[in-house]
Amino acid sequence: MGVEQPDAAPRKSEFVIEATDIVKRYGHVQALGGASLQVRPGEVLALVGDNGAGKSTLAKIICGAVVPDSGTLAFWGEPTTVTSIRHAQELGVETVYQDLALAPDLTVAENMFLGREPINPGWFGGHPARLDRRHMRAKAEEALRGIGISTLTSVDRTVRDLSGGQRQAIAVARAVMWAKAAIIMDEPTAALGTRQTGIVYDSIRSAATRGLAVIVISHDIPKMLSLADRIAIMRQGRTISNTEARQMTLTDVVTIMLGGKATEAA
Amino acid sequence: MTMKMKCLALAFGLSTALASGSAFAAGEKIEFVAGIVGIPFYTSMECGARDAAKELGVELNWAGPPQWDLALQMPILQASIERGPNGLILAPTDPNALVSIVEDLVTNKKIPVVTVDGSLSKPVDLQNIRTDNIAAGGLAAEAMAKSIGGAGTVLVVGLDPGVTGNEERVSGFTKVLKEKYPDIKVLPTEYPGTDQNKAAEIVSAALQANPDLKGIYTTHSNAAVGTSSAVIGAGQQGKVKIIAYDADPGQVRDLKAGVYDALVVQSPYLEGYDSVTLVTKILRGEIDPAKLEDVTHPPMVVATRENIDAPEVKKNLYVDACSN
Amino acid sequence: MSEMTQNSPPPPALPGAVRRFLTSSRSTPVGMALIVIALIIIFGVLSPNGAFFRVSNLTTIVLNASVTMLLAVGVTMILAAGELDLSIGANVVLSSVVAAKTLVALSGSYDEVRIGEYPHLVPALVAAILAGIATGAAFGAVNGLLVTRLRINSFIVTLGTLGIGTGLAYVITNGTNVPFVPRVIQTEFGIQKLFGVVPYPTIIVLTLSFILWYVLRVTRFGLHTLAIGSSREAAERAGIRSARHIFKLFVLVGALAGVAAALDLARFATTNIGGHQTTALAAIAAVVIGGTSLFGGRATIAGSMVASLIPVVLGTGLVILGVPSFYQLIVVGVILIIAVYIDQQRRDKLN
Repeated sequence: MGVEQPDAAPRKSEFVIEATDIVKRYGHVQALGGASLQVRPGEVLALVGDNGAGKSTLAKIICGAVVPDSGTLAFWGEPTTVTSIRHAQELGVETVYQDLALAPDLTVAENMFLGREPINPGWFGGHPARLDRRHMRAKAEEALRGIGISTLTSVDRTVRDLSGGQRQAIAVARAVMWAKAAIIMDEPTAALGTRQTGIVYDSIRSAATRGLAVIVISHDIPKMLSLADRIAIMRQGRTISNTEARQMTLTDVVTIMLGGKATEAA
Repeated sequence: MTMKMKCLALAFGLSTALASGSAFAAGEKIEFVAGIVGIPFYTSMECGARDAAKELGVELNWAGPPQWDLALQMPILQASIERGPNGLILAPTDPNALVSIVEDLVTNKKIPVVTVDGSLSKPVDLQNIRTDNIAAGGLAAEAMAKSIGGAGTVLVVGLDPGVTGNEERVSGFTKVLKEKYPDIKVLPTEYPGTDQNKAAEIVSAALQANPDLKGIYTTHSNAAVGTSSAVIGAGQQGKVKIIAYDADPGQVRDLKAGVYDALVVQSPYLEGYDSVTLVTKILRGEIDPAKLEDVTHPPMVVATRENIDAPEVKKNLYVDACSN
Repeated sequence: MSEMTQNSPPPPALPGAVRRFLTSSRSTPVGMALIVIALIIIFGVLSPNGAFFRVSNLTTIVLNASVTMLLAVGVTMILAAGELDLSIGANVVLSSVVAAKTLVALSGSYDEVRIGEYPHLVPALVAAILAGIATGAAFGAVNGLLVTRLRINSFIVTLGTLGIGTGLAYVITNGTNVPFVPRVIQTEFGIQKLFGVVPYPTIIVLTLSFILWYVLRVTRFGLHTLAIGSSREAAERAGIRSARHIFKLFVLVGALAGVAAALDLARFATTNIGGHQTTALAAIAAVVIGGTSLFGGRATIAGSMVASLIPVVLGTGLVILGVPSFYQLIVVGVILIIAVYIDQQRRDKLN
């Protein structure tokens, strides 16, 4: 499950994702007024900021759910207009949504492959497209083991029967399994207990170790300071700081978030 | 009162004045409001009404709703009244809802009203001409006894409990069998409603449970369709005799083909013919409405393969279109 | 793999997979099948001369359940995606009217069909079947477009088209059943049996049901159907175009109503414009009793098939036992409730 990077085109940039001067308005409300962000392979970037600062909107633009009004989005330095979630997935970007986006009545394996099922072609011009369940099961188990999920007895269980932490783990495992370049996580631990939170943070680190860029939106600033490589701080629709985490203290981050002096990006 | 209503009232008064002023001449206007149009039963009734109108020299206007539905019949009835007829014939689609309208026409507007097929809950009309369902059930019983040779088990397929006309078709049948044919055993009546599939299911089961089942009496066309499907499917056609109600062209064809053994034929042609004749005679003073019976029943026949081409049977069979 | 079980509860008496199956709604078809078998045994033992056990009786039961079964299978597909179709009964009526009109019009001149001669029966029959299925599919397509384009709740849409379809059937026929439908379609097909045992309509219904069972269980189309019913949001985010998928499902269930119309026409050799008023309800009831969720995401075609037999088994058995018809209604209602209660208890106990 290594990270496959496109070899055909030589990379034009050290950044997996680079967003520049992104603007997004909803009617009269300006959600983003020139937000920028860069993330390198193998790097965990924490995106923090007060409620309404524009974190989620920026994440949705990167993952293809929302189209920006202006600004550029580049993958490996290649400016790209991302038209859909599917498009972003093809560029190697996976997202773990706050609500997880799991179908509760489907099994773990089915959820992990939903929309991208391995197929045994049928006999009538490829129809019917039959699911390759054996492959789905094997890959799903492998992916779950890969991020250290140990509480799940079977990938044939329906998601409805799982705990909140297990569901979160499956959403994360799905993103890790499919991501080729980057993972975006929106509040991945908001609904979890301490132990489950630990598992998710471990999986974030292990994804980064394998060369993926990880963008984490979180309110848990102390944890972000220890987990992330860099901290990007947003305020009123703009990124006002992008600094190495080890150079920051909790006080620094909170001060900047609430409108104190911005530290120049390193 | 608006201008428009005044005009209408004037026109209405004028037309009745004209009509009554020329009572000695032919050309009374009679409105006929059917219960439903487009089905052979009512087409036959229309033929009878038109034949009578032609013979008597009255002007007949025939109208009716596409469904047996009070809500659809009501505007047609209103329009017929607006046309200012001398007399009116109505097939009431509801026994209660139409009582006050008919009462107003007869007692206040002095327009004679005769009802056919259905009936009103209160006899405010001058006469009601309809099938005697109890007698029809009795005819079916006689036909059944003849078909199965006076002994054996028979099943009755009804509609739904509480539908008066249909209940009479059933009770007339069972009454005659009980009184006259002690060797015929009647199974409990089944009620499939209008569901052909349910009728087929019931009859299939009855055939399994009763190897001695010799005859089935169906009281409406959906029951007949489901029953015949089940009987033919069980390979019992001809062995289990089906006596059906009504004589649509399709049913007559099935009678000839041996699907049914006899058909109880109502007399829609006569209901049409007799009602127009009656209203005309009342208008012409030839009949005193006070001396009329509340209800009268036209004669009925039972059609079999043997008598189907006899003229007295043939003229009663229902038609898709009048013969001339 | 030991790490995968380290935090699980103490080992259950049954192996995990078996236990999960028995406690999930997927076991409902098995439970319902047991109830049907129990009913058959009870009726068989109680019936005079074991009349209920006769092969002809059992095949007739399946024949009498066949149209409801086919529609229940269609409804299962649409309920799996969280949508409802109340208009299937009206669709059957309209499609059968179109098929019958086509058949009568093409099989001979007016004077010929009047006297029961059908010189062009075979081509007319082919055209009639296609016309019936096409009408059903078009009816479904209208439902699908209204649900997906205008975004009106499918309950309301199909309640509306239920009336529209019935009204159209009345308009086309002028309120009377299509006359002169050739009886030969009944005698040669509608009530005929393969090898004298299995009725032809039953073969068609079982074949189509098996195909749809396969589609729902094995194919991507089936998985996407369940995903949409389980969480439309999750399906959309996974790149499934749910509106297009739901449209296809409505066309599918409509086409099945068209097939049901053709079978109905063949079985009774006449249209039934006043009928099928409770057909949709009967089909939906069978689907839910069989273990399919009314809210989508969980669906079992086998359950719907088995459950659609229950009312016919009961109806037939009670007539054979000679239970008066008024009591039949009571007994059917009581047994349905008991059946579902037993199934529910069984699953709760195992949980």
